[in-house]
Amino acid sequence: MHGSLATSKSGEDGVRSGEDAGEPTEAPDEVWVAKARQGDSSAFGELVTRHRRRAYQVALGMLGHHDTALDLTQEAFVRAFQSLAHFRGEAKFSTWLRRIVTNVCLDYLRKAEHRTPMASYDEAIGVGEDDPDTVRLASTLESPDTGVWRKELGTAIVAAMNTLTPEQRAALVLREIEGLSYEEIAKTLECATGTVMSRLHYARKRLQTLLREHYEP
Amino acid sequence: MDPRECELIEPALSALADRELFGPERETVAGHVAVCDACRRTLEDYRVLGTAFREGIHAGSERDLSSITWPPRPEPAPRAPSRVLTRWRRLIYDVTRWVDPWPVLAGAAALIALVLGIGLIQPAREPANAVEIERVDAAGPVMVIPGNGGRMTIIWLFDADDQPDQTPTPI
Repeated sequence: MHGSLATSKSGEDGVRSGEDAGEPTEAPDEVWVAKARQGDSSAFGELVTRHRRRAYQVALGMLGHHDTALDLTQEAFVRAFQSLAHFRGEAKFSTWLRRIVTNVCLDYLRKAEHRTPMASYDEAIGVGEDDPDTVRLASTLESPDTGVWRKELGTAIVAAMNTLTPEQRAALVLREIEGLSYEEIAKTLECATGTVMSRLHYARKRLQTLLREHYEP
Repeated sequence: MDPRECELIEPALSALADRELFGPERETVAGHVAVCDACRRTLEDYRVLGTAFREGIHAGSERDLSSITWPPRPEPAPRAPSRVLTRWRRLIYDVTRWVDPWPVLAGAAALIALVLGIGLIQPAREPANAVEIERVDAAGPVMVIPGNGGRMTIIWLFDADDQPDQTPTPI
């Protein structure tokens, strides 16, 4: 079934298509979306395979934890499937999905924030060191060239992210990981462009304040 | 550099780093950064942090994501916890939040052992006013309770207004 649809347009969304399955599929998302809306579950499976890595990156950036990011990415796909009938195709599927992933993560973070007050930086550093998944994310920053410095900075960034508000994290991830413009971020988060600018400013300022010791000579 | 000017410029530095400032505002901020070491350093910090964050997330996502699949894998149905068990767990949790359970448990265990030990070691005693008899021949009903070693306990049952002598008559 996968890859059986020929097309002249691969589209931006199709750049990484099929990479997880190891099988090239060149049909644009719209084709798979149309089939999925008609009840073809395997067509939605193709969309999941195409977009799961980018969706996971957004979740990982916002949550800083592998297992939680996996769970919430899966949940985002479930929600997307359930609301597929409401997807009118005015935006790209990837844009629509990104908004769902962001909202799922925001909901999770807001609930978590409600359950336990936001961690201080020192507490967050402690949590990160005890948690193998968090440390693994940070340790991926280590390279032969940059060595311990990068690893320490990575650990510290993950910990410092935990001290930001969910909205600040979302803005930072959409900017740094997804490379969205302020206008696109504002649409995704349903807020004003000025609000995006303000959130990014406070987020970066906080990271800079907390992490200065890690990269200043 | 006047720190008040830096304070005014600072909120726009992030937008300048993202190339989201335009027109005269951009010129003003960029002009300030050109002559202000502190603000230039802040801009550089933002870039370093952004790069490190991106690298970390991209490297962290280079892992097996096959568990994200469609249709989603069904999760094993969780067993419904017993209400009684849940209540006990909650009680134990509440108690152990405030009291270190091990000394209490050790004390309780020692107390139980002591009580059981006393019960086991203590020899069976005869009642102080026990009377040895060889045969029972009573008009009224009696209760005979067999004991160890051929002993038995006999209890006379009588009405309150028909009390026999204090000393039972051996027959």
